[in-house]
Amino acid sequence: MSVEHVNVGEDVALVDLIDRLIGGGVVLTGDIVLSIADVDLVYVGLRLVLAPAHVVEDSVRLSRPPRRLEERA
Amino acid sequence: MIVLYALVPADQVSSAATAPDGLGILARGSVAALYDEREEVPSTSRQDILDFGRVVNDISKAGPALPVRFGTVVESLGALGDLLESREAEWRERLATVAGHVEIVVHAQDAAAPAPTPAAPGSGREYLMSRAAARRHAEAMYDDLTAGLSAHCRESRRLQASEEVRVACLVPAGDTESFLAAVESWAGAQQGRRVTTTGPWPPFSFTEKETG
Repeated sequence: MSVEHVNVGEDVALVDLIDRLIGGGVVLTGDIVLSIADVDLVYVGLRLVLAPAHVVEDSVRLSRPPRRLEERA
Repeated sequence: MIVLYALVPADQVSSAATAPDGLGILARGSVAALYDEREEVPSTSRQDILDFGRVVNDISKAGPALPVRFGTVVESLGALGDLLESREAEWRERLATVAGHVEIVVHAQDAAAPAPTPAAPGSGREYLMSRAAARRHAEAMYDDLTAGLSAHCRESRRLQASEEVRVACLVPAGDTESFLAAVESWAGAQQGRRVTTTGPWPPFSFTEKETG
């Protein structure tokens, strides 16, 4: 058995904070029109998320199981 | 453009002097939005995300607040006003629910859990069987964890995680010690369990009513 409480600022806490800031919170559904020039908006379903592309790409990558190419060989 | 930070009870921020960090206030009915009006698209560096988090944390310390997801913008105050009017009832209910509570995130792992993939490369069937066994184990651990903590959480939400069970709990602000004791008790009930908790956080995971 092991229990650890991580104080804010330590690594796990920092990851949790960033995860919750980007992945939690109030989400506005597509009833608001965004009109921002020269910015890549990422649409996730009806939800509008303005996020750096690498964050979204990482999120998508993490949500997929690893491919096992050797099984196909 | 209008960068949103949080939604709060309107009577909590009745004047510009009470808005933290120089944010603007727009109230409709019983709910107010705290925002920053900017000319340029907000930057999305790690430091900007953390700065946003600091402001949201300050807001939450002052009273009930629903953090808005980082990077959320609306085009005008008119659009924000329309939004507040259309969702006031929903947000009023959520603000009442989170009032006096904090979010604590629990990360639970079990050394006895089956590996999600076989130790040695095998057939596709073995791979799928391993994943299914790991998933069943995680589901059972999630059920057991939430049952063990339910008396200490007003609400809980399962968070996405690939190699552990991760749960956000809405805990009365004054009861965090007893909550952590319950976590410790749960972890101690079975050998091999390893638990990490983080927080207290603003109620990031409880801004919407649980569905299903």
